[in-house]
Amino acid sequence: MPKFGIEFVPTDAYWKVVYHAVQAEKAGYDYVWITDHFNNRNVYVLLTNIAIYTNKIKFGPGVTNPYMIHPIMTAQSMASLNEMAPGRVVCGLGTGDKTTLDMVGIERVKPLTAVKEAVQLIKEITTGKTVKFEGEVFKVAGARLNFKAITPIPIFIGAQGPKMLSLAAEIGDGVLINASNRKDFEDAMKYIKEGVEKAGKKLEDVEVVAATSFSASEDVKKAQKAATPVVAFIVAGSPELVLQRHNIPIESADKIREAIAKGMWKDVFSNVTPEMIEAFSISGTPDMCIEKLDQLAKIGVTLLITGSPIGPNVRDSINLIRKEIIPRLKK
Amino acid sequence: MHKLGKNLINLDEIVKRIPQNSLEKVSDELVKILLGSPNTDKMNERLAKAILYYWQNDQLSSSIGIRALLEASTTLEEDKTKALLQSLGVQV
Repeated sequence: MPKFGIEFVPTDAYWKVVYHAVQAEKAGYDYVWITDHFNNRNVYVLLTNIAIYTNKIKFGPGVTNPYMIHPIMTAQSMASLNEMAPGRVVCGLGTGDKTTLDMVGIERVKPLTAVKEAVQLIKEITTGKTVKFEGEVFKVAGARLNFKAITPIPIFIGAQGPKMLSLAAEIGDGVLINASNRKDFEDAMKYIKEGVEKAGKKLEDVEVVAATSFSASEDVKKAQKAATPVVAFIVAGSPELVLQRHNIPIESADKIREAIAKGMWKDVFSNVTPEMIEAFSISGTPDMCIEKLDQLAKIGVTLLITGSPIGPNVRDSINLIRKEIIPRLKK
Repeated sequence: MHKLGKNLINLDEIVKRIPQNSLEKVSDELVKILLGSPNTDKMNERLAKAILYYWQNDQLSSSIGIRALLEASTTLEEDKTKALLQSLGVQV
């Protein structure tokens, strides 16, 4: 039986995001994730409020990165949240969004090593240990929190490429994959299995997470229209290998990239094809969404995240997911 | 007393005038107005916290919950709130 998560990008007032997080808890979701980008509301401000206004849902940054936020600070934030809501806090960690990091002139140096070292640092320091660490990316001379996490904090690692997928499965409690199509997961599972074997773990020891671009509505056209802007950005940011996997011509992606660069939004959206929406989102009626979510669960995904845009109207779509989707998949 | 257009209104009185069987619908409509409002800078800190607290505790359809929603929606979206109340036959 898959678990359900929801992801919010805090572009709107804090109270709207928290309202929807509470709604998600009432709807039967197991996790709420808040994205971490410097140009949106601060992720920990949102998570603190979610800790206050919810009672059982698990929550965490989805995902933070060790380049913008030093792992020691992430550990401090996670341990502080854990004090407010023991057992409910999870940490999503990845290499970060290149576009956002470029804006502040931060380079993603040695991503595999950075993630590996960050995970080690967060795990050690949240247990209250004094940490002396001489890594390739991070060096800590001797740091210790004056408090410690009450319960262990699971770390979910955002991964796309084969090496990161394998590493995430090896050292993480969860592998968080930003994708919506079964083809991506069929491919990813090979590397996840490699990683768990390397660590001497079982596949069941690792949560396999699909962070989907999701849009549910009783009206297919409305659902797909809502997904279009998100899909446009996914296509623009996808490497050739991924585009080829979904038979998306490189030239079509280039057209979208050029239009985004010029800020010509009408062209951006008009270049998004039904094939792109099919490849990079789960959007449509509840029945259509269930079919795709079920495919992912059958491949081995254990946690299904309904991510941006969620639907044409977030509140209505969460209600629809509560009534029509979660109960049928959690049966 | 609370300002709604040119009038000063008593929110407690307005809540009392909403038929009991319409409380849930009114609450739902007020939440819709608030979540759809772009005027988030007008949201009062105390009210935002109160609304979230009532939501967490399933009290947004209670008199106290609707009062908080009404106070917020008249601040953020005066015309829409007025229209909603009028559609329910509630004099303001």
